[in-house]
Amino acid sequence: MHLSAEELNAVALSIKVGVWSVAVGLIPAIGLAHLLARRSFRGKSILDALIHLPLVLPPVVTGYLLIITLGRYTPLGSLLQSIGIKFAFNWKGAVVASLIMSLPLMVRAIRISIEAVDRRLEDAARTLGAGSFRIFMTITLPLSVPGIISGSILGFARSLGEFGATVTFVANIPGETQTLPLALYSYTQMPGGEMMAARLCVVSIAIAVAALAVSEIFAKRAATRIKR
Amino acid sequence: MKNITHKKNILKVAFCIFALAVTFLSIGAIAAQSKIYIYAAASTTDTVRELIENYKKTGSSTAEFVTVFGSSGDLARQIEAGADANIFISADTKWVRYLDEKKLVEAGTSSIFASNELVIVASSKAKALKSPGKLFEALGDSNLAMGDTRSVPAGKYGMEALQYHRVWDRISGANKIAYYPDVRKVLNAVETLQCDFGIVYKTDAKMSSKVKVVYSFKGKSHSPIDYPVCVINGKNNDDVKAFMKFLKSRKAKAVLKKYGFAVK
Repeated sequence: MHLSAEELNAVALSIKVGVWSVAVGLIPAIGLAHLLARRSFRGKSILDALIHLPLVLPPVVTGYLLIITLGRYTPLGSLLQSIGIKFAFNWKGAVVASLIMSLPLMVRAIRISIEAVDRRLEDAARTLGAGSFRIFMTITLPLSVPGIISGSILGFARSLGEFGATVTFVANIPGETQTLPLALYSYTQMPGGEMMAARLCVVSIAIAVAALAVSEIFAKRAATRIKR
Repeated sequence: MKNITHKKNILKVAFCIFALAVTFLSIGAIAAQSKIYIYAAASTTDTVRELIENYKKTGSSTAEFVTVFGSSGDLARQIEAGADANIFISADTKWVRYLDEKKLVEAGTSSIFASNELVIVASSKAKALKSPGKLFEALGDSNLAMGDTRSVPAGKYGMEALQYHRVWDRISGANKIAYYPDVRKVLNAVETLQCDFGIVYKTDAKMSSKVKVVYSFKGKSHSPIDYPVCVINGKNNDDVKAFMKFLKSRKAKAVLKKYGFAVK
């Protein structure tokens, strides 16, 4: 199977956006998951709902909300632009859209994993004099690695499929914001574009299956290590 | 114990009879009514709705209308896959040609029923645009929003028009264009100030109060923007014929004009 330069661009860009959105989102996701799993505070359910909002809203609406908050003439958008960060119509904007869309999935997976960590282990460490941060780094975090892995893969997968929020926020620019699903959609809108669409479809499936396989291997390794 | 299983069985049988009855009744209901399925390009949504309203008011038919709106490409592919369409209104002649090649268009039913114009719209923050030839300068550090040039008809026409005015190479070469998958999203990008300028149809521009039309492209600067209508092969009947005739009437043309379409 030979891919054209534009198709290769779309594939490379998709992977780049997916990796970046997981890389940028992982630490906040772990923080939020820990907060939701282990702390109780005022407005917790609001925070929880806010994180999950992109999961239930139509992606186009999420994209529209991104325009309203980070757009060119908005306060936050102007502030970011003044320090040289511009999201409009470049791949960084695509990362922002993907990140917002995949964050709920990452937080969910990691939270479940943290909740499954035996609290008595954390309590035991505390009686031995360990501080909260040390407990988190040496007990909670290592024990929730399977959740972190599956969360990352879910987030990556969600980025790969992201369409609505991305196209609304940063349009469909070949080489800049045209990810796999956007390119695929463009091809289906051309008479005779079926073959190209089908090829990209096969590539999408291949990437998704590969990502899942890798996560499976990592998760198994982590699980056996934890058992020991 | 025996009694309970017996009762359970009766319930099961009753449920099956009920389910079958519902199925048959609904099939009967569907078959009994004469429904006309119109698959129409998204840019004609309001126009087609009003055309149907006006047609119903004439009282010449009791047929029910079901409308499906979407991108012409999506609709054509759905029809190809066996969607139950009677009439197809496309924003681009190429999709009717596509269906015709697959022997899905009833012979002699395809015609142009409306035409559109291409305009440049500007946001409230945009600089003044004296002529399309000065578009690059007017853009400054902002972007031009337009439909994807290969998959969205308005994008293709826009590219032709900008090439005609000799600014295409400069604007696209400088990566100044934000491509969108449909015209409504282009309009939205200008409305939300993401882009200072956008290229849309006159009919779309007319719907928005947040953008202003700063230039209308001359017809000779791009290929004609025609909206063909056709009847799907084997889906013609008297009700469909009557509605197709109505589409060419003076009443229908008045509606089309109201929304900004040009009619011959």
